[in-house]
Amino acid sequence: MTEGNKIVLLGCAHSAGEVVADLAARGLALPAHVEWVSVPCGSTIDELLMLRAFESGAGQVMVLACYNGACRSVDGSLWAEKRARAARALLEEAGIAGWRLQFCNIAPNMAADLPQWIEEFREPVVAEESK
Amino acid sequence: MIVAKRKPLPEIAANLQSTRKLLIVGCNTCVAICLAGGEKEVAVMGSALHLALRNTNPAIVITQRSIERQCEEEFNAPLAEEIAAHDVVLSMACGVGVQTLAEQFPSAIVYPALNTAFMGRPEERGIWSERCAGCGNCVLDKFGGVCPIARCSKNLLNGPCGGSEQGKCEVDPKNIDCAWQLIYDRLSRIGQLDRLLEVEPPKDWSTSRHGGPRKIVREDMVL
Amino acid sequence: MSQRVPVEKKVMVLGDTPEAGRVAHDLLGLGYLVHWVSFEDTPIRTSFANSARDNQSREAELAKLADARLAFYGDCNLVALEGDVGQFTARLRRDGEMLSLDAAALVVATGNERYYPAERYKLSLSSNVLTVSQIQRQLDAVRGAGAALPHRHERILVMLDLGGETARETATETLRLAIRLREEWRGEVYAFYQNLKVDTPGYERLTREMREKGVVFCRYAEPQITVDEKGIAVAYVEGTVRGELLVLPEAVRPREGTAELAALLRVRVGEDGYFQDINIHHYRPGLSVRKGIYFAGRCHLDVAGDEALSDAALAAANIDALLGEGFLEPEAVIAHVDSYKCIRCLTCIRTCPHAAVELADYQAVTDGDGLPVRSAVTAARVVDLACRGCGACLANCPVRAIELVGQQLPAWMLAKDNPQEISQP
Repeated sequence: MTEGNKIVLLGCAHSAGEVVADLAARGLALPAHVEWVSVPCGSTIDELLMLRAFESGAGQVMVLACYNGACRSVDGSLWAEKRARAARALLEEAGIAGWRLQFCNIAPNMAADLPQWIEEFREPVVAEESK
Repeated sequence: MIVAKRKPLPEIAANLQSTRKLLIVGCNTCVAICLAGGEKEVAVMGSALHLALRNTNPAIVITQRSIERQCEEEFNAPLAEEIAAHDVVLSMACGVGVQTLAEQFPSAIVYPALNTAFMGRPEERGIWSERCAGCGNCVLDKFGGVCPIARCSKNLLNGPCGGSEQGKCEVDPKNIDCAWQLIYDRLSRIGQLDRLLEVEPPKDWSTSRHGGPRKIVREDMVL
Repeated sequence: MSQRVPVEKKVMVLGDTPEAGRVAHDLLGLGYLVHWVSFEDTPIRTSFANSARDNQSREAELAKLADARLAFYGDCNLVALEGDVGQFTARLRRDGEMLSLDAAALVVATGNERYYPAERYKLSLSSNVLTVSQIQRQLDAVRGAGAALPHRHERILVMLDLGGETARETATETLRLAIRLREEWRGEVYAFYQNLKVDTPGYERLTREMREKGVVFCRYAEPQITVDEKGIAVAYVEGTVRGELLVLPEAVRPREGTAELAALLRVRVGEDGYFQDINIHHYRPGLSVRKGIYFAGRCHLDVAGDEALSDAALAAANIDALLGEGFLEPEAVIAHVDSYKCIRCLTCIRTCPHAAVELADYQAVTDGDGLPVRSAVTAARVVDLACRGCGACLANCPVRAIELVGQQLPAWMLAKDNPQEISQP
């Protein structure tokens, strides 16, 4: 069920969504094993969303939200970070390594960074696979 | 209201290693309000258990239900068939709900998912603190509406101990206010400080838990 | 499913400042009805006049006061603000009586407060240590009375940035004062600075004008000021200057009552105590967390006089962008509460950053024959026009009673073995 290849990006439409669209416009689609899920704001992200992503076969989940002070609904990134932390604790209790869930702040103009973050995020999984 | 908190997942999962069909039942009253056992937490629990048991019990089937109030047989009754069709019931209600289910369906195996803690109030969203210990003999009139049983770490009835400092209790100065500081301040404010001149005798604990499990009967409501 | 809600082009302006006057003036020009509410006791004509762009148009501005579309309420206390964008109701107390005023939107232009920061400056005011405002009043008094110029032939020492950064508003006034001192009193004027920070429109031009008018600029490293019976001595990097008079700019702080007003309006204050924390979507445009409530001028920005007025013009423009077409529409994706699942835990109401969820009485629903289909219930309800669709309520709801209408979620969000689950549209 988990420890699969799939990485789920749970991202705020205003920041991560813009980045994903930007990458697509440049012809740089996300890798095949990355599933992009857009939510209206970091505030929409809760433990259930993150857990279900793992349940559906994701080996890793990256939560992306605007920087503090850049959220249209003010608290979105704070909520996303808090919920990611709680979900990580629950995952650890379930015996899933916490590093498989990562939270990142992102801005709409950071298309150059996201593909690199995804690659770095994937490194431990690649390392495990090659053992 | 009753305030409870989710048990550590490994503790819950330990009882489910050979369960084939699990029914999680949530309660949408007290435990939902304290964000521990409502429909949302039932869904989170279902998902978490699938993940926790993925290696040891991957075939487990988990059904999720939530009902109005698990301490009422009428609300539990519609679950009868489903309870019979599952091996284990994981109740996300408070201890009362768990036991009601177990009494109502005595052949069912009912496990608790929560640790029921206290009767308390929300201070702000996400934070609840204890206010009532259910001692069975309320004396809030004597202490300006601040309970020395529930809020004083030592249940003192005649003033603070030496561990009261800057209005905080030495047991946990960051989180616990000194109840006697609160009582003093409140009685001053409402002009009833003279109540503290009355000596409160040792508490008769027979009306509380210490006297054994309690029952209250409204004779005029029972035919 | 978009629903247009007609709104009256009526706006409430709070405050007794030139920027409040400018907002009122601009909105009147755009055809709006304006309720101008002041918490102070001063005559509103002064503020309105001060808000005019230049002296010549003051008469025309004052004439607008007679405009039937402007209603002014002075010396009020805001007791409560009810409703949401499109239909706010302010309950005010004035002279012991209660008033109710409706408006489709609100502009808060309550300004800031001046004070003398004795602790920061480590100097007390006296007959030869004065603030910029005090000197200005002396200059104004001379003009009017035609009396002999005081302080003539005196050397005046002006500190531009004692104890750290000066607010832009008072910094600009200080520069203007230095120029005025040279023009009117003709004494020597020395301006002392630690770090001349040119970050206000017109600041650089003013410093150039000061030099042209003969003001001497002296840089100091650490403030060393001595005040004694002989006069004032200020040390700078090349020595010490003695003078007869020391002038200091005032400091500004949030107007008293800002936190209380913010709580009543259910908007935020920043760490510095001014309205609205630093958020790039709200800060410059003068938006609050609530739709229909705007900020203008010095109550939310550190700006000098002219900029406060252009910020006021921006607030008026924002309002016109919102209300100009005479109707409001909810955003494309907004939240919706299932009133029958709601357990009234109040979490969504406490969570919503936009104050867009309320506890409401849902009416009973009857069928064509008058038979009850659904009973009346008290439950949370989203105010459609105020909702920004952020989903915070949904994420926090303990019984999953809230959905974001129009939001698509992946199929794996539905647990496969749970037919009771809400299915997302």
